[in-house]
Amino acid sequence: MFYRIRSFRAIVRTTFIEAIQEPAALLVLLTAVCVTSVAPLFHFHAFGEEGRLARDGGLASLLVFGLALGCAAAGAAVHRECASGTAAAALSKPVGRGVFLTAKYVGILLVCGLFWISVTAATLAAEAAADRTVVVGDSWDRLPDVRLRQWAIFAPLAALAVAGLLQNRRRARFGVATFLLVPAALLLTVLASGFWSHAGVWGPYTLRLNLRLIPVALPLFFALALLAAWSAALAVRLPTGAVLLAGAAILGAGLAADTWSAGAPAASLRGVLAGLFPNIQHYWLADALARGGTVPWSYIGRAAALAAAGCALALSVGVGLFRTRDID
Amino acid sequence: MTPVIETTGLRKIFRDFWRRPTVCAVDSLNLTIQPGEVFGLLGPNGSGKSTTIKMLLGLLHPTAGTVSVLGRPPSDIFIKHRIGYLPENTHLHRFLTPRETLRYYGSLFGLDRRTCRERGEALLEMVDLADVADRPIDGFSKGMARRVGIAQALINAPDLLILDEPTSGLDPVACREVKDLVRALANGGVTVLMTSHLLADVEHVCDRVAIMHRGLVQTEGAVGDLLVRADTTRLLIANLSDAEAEPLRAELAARLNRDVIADHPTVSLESYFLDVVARASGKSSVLTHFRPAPFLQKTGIGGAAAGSARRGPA
Repeated sequence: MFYRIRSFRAIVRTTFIEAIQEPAALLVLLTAVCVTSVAPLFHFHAFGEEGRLARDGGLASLLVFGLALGCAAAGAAVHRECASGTAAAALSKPVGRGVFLTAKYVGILLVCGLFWISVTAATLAAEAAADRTVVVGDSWDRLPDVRLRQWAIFAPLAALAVAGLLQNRRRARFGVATFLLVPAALLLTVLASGFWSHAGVWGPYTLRLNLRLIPVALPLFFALALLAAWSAALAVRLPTGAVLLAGAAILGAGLAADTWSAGAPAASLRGVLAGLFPNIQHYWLADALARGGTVPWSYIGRAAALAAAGCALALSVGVGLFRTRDID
Repeated sequence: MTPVIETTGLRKIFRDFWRRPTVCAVDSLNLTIQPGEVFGLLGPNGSGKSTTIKMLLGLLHPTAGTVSVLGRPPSDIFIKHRIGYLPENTHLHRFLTPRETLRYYGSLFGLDRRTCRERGEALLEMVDLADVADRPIDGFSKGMARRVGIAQALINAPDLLILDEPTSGLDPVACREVKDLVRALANGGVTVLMTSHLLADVEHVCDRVAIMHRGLVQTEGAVGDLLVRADTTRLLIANLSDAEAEPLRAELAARLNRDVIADHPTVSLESYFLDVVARASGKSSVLTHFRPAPFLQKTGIGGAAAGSARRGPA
C-alpha cells in the first residue's frame, strides 16, 4: 500500500515540476495576473457597481487563461511523456496505467490550484483597489486604493526578482520558484491591505476584501479541473494540439449547454449528451455577486460533487483508452 | 528450474490508424531464458529486438502468443519490482538532476526515502556521476545520460535486468566497465537480457544469443557453440620465433598431409585501446568504476574482477 502512495506521490511531484517549469505556463500565469491587476486602471464602464469591472474581469481571466493552462498542461504532460519515452520508463516499473494517469492528472490539478490562488488573490486586490466613493470633509470623490493597486502590480515583479535571486544563489529552477512565489506574494499583498484604509491611511487591521468572491471563484476551479480531466484523458491518444481543439469544443458545448439541452428528456440522445458534457454555466456565477448577492455554500458543495463525478468519468474513459494503448 | 523469461509463439503486428496491419515486427518467437543467464538478442535495425523487450515489460500488447516473466504475465505489475530496465534511448526527465532522477525511480519502486538516498548515492558513485549529481540532465552528454539510465535500472536491485543497447553512446572505457558490471551481476545470480549492435560486446558478455531478422529468430544457442570452428584446431606456443615455427609448420603439414597455417594471434582492439589509455594516464588500468554497488551484491560478488572469472571479456 505504502509503495503505491510513494510512487503516486513521485509521479505527481514530477508532473507538477515539469508543468510549472514550462515557460508557456509561467507566461499564462503572469499574463492572467497582470491583466487582472492592470485592467481596472482603464475605466470604460462601472457596470452599475463599484469594483464590478475589476471583479468580473478577474473572474473572466481566471476562466479563460485557466482553461488554456489546464488543457495545455494536461495534454502536454500526458502526450509528451508517452511520445518521449519517459512513460515507457515509468510503466516498466511497478506502476499501473490507471495510477500513472491519475497521478499525472493530480499533478496538473496542483498547477491549476496555484493558478487559481494567484488570479483569485489578484482579483480580490483589484476589486478592493477599485474606485470607491470617499467622503472628504463636506465633499466626496471617487478614489482608487493607489497603494494596494501598486503593490498588486509590484508583487509578481518581486516574485520574479526573488526567483532570479534563488536561481543565482541556490540554483533553484527559475520557472518553478516564480510559479510558487507569485501566489504567495499576491496573498501577502491582499492580506496586508488590511493595515490601511481605502484612502491610504494606516490604521488597525481591518479586512477590506470581498470574501463573497471566494465561493464564486471556487466553481471556476471545478470547471478547470473538469476540463483538465478530459484533456488528460484525451491526451493518451491525441497530440496536444488536438487535445486543445477538443477542449475548446467541450468548453463551447458546455457554455451553450443551457441552450441545446433545455427540456431534453433524460432518455434521449440530447439528454445523455447533457449528462456527459460539463455545463460550464453551472460554474460561472459572477452575476450572483451583483448588488451584494451571495452564493450559498450548499451550492458550492453540489457543484464540487458534480465536478468530481465528471472528473471521475473523464479519467475512467482515459484509463480505458490508456490500458489498450501500446507504449513505444 | 522455472525459466525467468519464456515466450511461446509470440507475435506482434503493428497497425495504422484504421487498424490495417502495417508491419509484423515479431513472429513466432519462442524464447527461454534460465536464471543467472546472460542472454543476448542480436539483429539489425528493425529486426524486432526492442519490440520483444517491450512486450516482455507489458508496454506493448502481443498480437498472439504467450509471455511469462518471472513466472507471471507481464501485465502483473508486482513482478516489475524484480525487473530493471534500461531503454534503448535513455528516456529521462531532462529537467531533473541525476540525484532527483534516482529518487524518482526509487519512489516508483516504493523505496522509502532513506533507501532511495543510500542506493542513489551508491549508484552515482558506481557510474562516476557523483560530482555532477545536482546538475540537470539537460546539459549532459549522451554517455553521461546513459550512465544515469544504467543507475536507474539498478535502483531496485533487480533479479532480471533488461538492457536495450546498454553501451550505446558510451566511450570504450565505459563500455568495458558496463560489460564487466553485467558479468559481475550475472555471477551474483541476476539474469540479464541485453541487445546490442556491437557484436563484440555480446560475444564477450553473453552465455547464449539469439539472432533476429525481420521479426524471426534465425539462430539461437550458446556463444561458444555458435562461434567455434570444430573442424579447425589452433596450437598456441609462447615465445616461438618465426625461424623456429616454420620447420614445425612444415613438419606438421607433411605428417598430416593438410594445410597448416602459422600466425601470431592478435589482442582485441578494445584491450589494446584500454592499454594505451592506461599507459598514457600513467596507471596500470583505467577501469576503476562500475563495480556493483554494495546493495547489488546479493550473493557476495567481489566486484568486476570476480565477475570476469566466469566468463571475462577478452
